[in-house]
Amino acid sequence: MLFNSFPFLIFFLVVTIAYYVIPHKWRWLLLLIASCYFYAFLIPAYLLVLFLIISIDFAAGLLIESNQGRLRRFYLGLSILSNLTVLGIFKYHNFFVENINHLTGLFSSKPVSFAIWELALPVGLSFHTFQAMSYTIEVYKGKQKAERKFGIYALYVMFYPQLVAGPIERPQHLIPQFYQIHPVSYNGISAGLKWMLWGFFMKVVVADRLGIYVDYIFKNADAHSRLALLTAVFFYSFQIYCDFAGYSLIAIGTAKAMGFTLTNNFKRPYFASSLRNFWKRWNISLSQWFRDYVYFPMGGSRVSVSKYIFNILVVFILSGLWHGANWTFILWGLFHGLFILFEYLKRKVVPRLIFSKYIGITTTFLSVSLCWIFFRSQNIHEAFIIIKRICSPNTIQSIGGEFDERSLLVYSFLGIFSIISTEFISEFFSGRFQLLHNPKEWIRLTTCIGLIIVILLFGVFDGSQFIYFQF
Amino acid sequence: MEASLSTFNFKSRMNKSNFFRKIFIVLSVLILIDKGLGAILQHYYSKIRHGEQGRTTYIIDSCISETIILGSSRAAHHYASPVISDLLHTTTYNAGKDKQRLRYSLALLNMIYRRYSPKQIILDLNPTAFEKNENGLDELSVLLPYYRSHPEIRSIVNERNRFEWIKTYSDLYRFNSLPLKILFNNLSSERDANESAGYVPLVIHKELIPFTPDSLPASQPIDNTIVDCFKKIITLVKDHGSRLIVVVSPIYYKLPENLKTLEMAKSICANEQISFLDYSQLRQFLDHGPEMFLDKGHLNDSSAIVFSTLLSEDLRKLQ
Repeated sequence: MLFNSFPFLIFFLVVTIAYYVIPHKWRWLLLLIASCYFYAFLIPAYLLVLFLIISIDFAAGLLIESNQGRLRRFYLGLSILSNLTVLGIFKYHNFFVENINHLTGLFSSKPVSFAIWELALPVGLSFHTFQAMSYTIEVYKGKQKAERKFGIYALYVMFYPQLVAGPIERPQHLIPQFYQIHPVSYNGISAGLKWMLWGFFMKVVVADRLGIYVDYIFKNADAHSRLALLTAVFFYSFQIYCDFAGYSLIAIGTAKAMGFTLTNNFKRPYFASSLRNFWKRWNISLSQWFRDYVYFPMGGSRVSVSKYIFNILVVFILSGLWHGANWTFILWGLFHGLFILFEYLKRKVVPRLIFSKYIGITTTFLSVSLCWIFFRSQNIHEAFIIIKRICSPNTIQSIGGEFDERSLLVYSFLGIFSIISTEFISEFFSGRFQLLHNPKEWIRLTTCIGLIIVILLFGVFDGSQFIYFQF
Repeated sequence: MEASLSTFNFKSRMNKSNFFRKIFIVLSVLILIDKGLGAILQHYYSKIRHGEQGRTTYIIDSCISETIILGSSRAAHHYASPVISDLLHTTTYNAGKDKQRLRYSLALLNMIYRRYSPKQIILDLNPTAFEKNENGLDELSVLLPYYRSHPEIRSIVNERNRFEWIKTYSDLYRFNSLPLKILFNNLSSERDANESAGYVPLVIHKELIPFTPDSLPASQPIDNTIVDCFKKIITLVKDHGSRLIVVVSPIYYKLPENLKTLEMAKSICANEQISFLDYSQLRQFLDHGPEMFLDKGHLNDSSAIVFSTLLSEDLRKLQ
């Protein structure tokens, strides 16, 4: 089920009301059934894949806790291997097979041809496998007790607000909340509804509107002017942010309305003054996952320079591969890694200048936007065509080209302006000039009404998916 | 926004009555604004006399032409209605619309017949019109401003999704994405929609045309609901005593001989004794593709005039 669909609004109302009406001891069951229904709305058969992962990791958690020494490590390895195998089958098999077929074709007169599997990728597979892995790793580290109730553990992996696109929650943060009694809190419901409202605004008013122009330009990139391509890249930077952050806010709001607190996944990433800082603000739960479970175990930054460079590149290439089985994502990760290394070297050589924060914000945004070209392109060739055309000076200068919906460009720029201005205020005037959380009731209510009107008038209601669902 | 997530707190805890009072206030004000602003948008929308919206409103509310041309962008750009009017000594209006398919034509016909019965309907059929379309029925949103005033189209618009009938209770939703167009079109001084008889000439170069036409991309499965829609159009036109001519206008693709849409359409037309004119592969157009087509799917202005002349002569013979 998509958050930006009408059935979700009904689903949310029914589940939230039912959650508060039924006794606490049955609430976990309600949420589990609701989560299964939510997921089954997309591809029902893949509930089986999800339950396979859940069963393996639930058993692994108990076995890790009840054993000592090598056996603990063995069960952890088995759990991680199982999760990675599921990911490998559904997400990476065809990518590796295509590349092996291609490589053998280059070096052999009788190339090997492995079969491509026609499997649809279960929605949000990377999110819930990573969440499941974080459970067994935390149990192994002794930071989390193995969960005894299968239903509660299943709910930890399947909790519908964050099931398909995160945030990737740690077990010690989410599992105890399923045991807590959540009395009806009108403050919580009100706060949740507000987050959902802002999330819907980001998704349907800004992201989906920008997506129309971005799709139009990227579909036939070599036919458009430099200015049109630059605009599309600029729009895509905001489209993907508003799409993903919008989802996260709806998820946080949905959970909040039932008394749950989820991790905030974004912290105004485009106001980051460095790439390093960007990754502390973008998809925070995933960044922390890679930091804690990959980067730190490799030694982090407390190693030799060459090992540090290696660690950074490995983590970012893996992060790229996590997003998708395509060389474009690998290059996207690689470039992020290289930019971070460049910043690392620059810090050692160049002294801090005045206005360095603002220069940093600008250069970080430009670097991130450049990387998004790879993220959005269908293949590397397309990405380089776009970069080449952006760099060539003699193309016709027109934002729209043949794009005949000029009003859409106006809506798009207004949407971006609203996001930048809101985040600017939050970044530089923290706690002041708030609208949704203004101390004055009439300002809060007026803002809510205004947002609903804007969503009705300017939202895109074509039921488009969230970009991060594909991961 | 993020800062507020952690700093969120009210001075006092909200109680049940306070919460529901706020919900009541928000809903009441929303309904008032929805109806008030909706009425203003409806008023100014109906005043639009040009552009896409102006054309649609004119066809639905004012047009009294004897011949009406229906279809997608290929209809809008291929049928020079003034030429057809001159040659057939009739009044013709081109009601073709970009990005629209047969459901839109059916809805338009329903609205037209509520007011009057044209003598002749020319339906331009896309060679892949019956095939499934991955975009769903989003294009029918152009009919939302007419949803309230034209109950005869509700069942068609409701096909967009299961909850469309609920969404249309909101007047603002019906004018979704339109406020700027309404503003610009009301301020603009372009000529009225009825002056051009609906024909939209294509003069801007959009696409490089190859010297020889490409083969049509692989076909999609047939969507039976669209076939039903085609049959409904035939029944509706017959019931109102108009004459229907189904036309396939030139296209710069090599079409396979057994293209399903055309085979089915031909067969249905033969059974219903409807004239079916297929110009899709006319050498006169295909052999001079780069000069005559603006892109692979559309004739340019001068070719549209040639085609309209040719069609008018054939229609005269049919009469």
